[in-house]
Amino acid sequence: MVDEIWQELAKAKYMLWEHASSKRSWELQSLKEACETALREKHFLDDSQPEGFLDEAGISHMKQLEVLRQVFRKAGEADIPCEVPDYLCCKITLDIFCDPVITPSGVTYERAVILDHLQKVIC
Amino acid sequence: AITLCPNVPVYWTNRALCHRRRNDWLKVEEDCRRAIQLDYSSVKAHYMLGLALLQKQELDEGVKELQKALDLGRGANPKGYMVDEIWQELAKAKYMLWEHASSKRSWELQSLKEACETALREKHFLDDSQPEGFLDEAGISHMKQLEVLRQVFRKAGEADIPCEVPDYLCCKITLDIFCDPVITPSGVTYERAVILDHLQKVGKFDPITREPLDQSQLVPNLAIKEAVQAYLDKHGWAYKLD
Repeated sequence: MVDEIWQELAKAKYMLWEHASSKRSWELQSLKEACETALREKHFLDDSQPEGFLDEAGISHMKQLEVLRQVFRKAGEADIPCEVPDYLCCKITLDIFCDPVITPSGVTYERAVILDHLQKVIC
Repeated sequence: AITLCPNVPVYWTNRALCHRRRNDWLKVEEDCRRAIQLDYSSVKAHYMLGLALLQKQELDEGVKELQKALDLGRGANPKGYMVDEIWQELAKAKYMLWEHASSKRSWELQSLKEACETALREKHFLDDSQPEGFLDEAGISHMKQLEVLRQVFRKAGEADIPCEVPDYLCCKITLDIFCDPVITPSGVTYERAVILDHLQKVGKFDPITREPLDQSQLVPNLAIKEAVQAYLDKHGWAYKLD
């Protein structure tokens, strides 16, 4: 029963995340574009230099856009799927832990998997 | 001794220790480098070389040497007094590295945040002219923009703001972040030195669950150790030890 409830709960939590994160991503993307546009227009109005000449304000403007990209990437980082850290995953299944247990050697495994291993590989 | 037997690394590190006592860091570096040439696995040589490099403000190289000393020291004698001392110095150096990098980052973020706020405000002023007091759809959206902008910049600078280290990375007795976490049969993790002290001075039982506990039952919690390192890599301010 517990396994089945966990499966359904995990599915539901994933759906909750999916819904909230697309909303967040859209909001971030809109704001990022608005900032880029506003910064570009301001730069164009504030500093008029002949084309091809990259002055101090020009370099700083390019740097601004680069840092802006990093800022928005950082702000949306948690919603981008990536690899779950090793120390949160079973060394056998490579999946994130549900019920971690530790052995005398200090290694942590998924309970069901290590129990299975102990039953099948008895010396 | 060095004149008679220049190929004994210990003589060089002994002399380096003398230089250290006299704060003659250039000579410390020289003698440590000689010692390392003779014995690459000399804990003391890498340790004092690290300290000397830190004195020269060569933070990155100094930290590398201290880390090398710590790894070698842990391999040889994990509970030795040297390991504790090296760890203290390494933590101090890592904290300095973080302090330096994070003030640069904070300044950069603050400048950009102000530039964006100014640019958005000016654009809003130019794009939408409404009589005062009337907050139209574009106005509400502009206020919301600034609010989301504040959240974005706060999130982007979050890792550099000191806060409480998560409970699961801290010893339940000391409440400090783990250095050498060990787990008991009841599933609770403690700082090794502290639980050993408890078992010796207070009694042979788990401090929290009160179940019987012997020193031999303690297991190194490698996963938590890894988690602590990952947290420190991301939040350098946590290297500050009280």
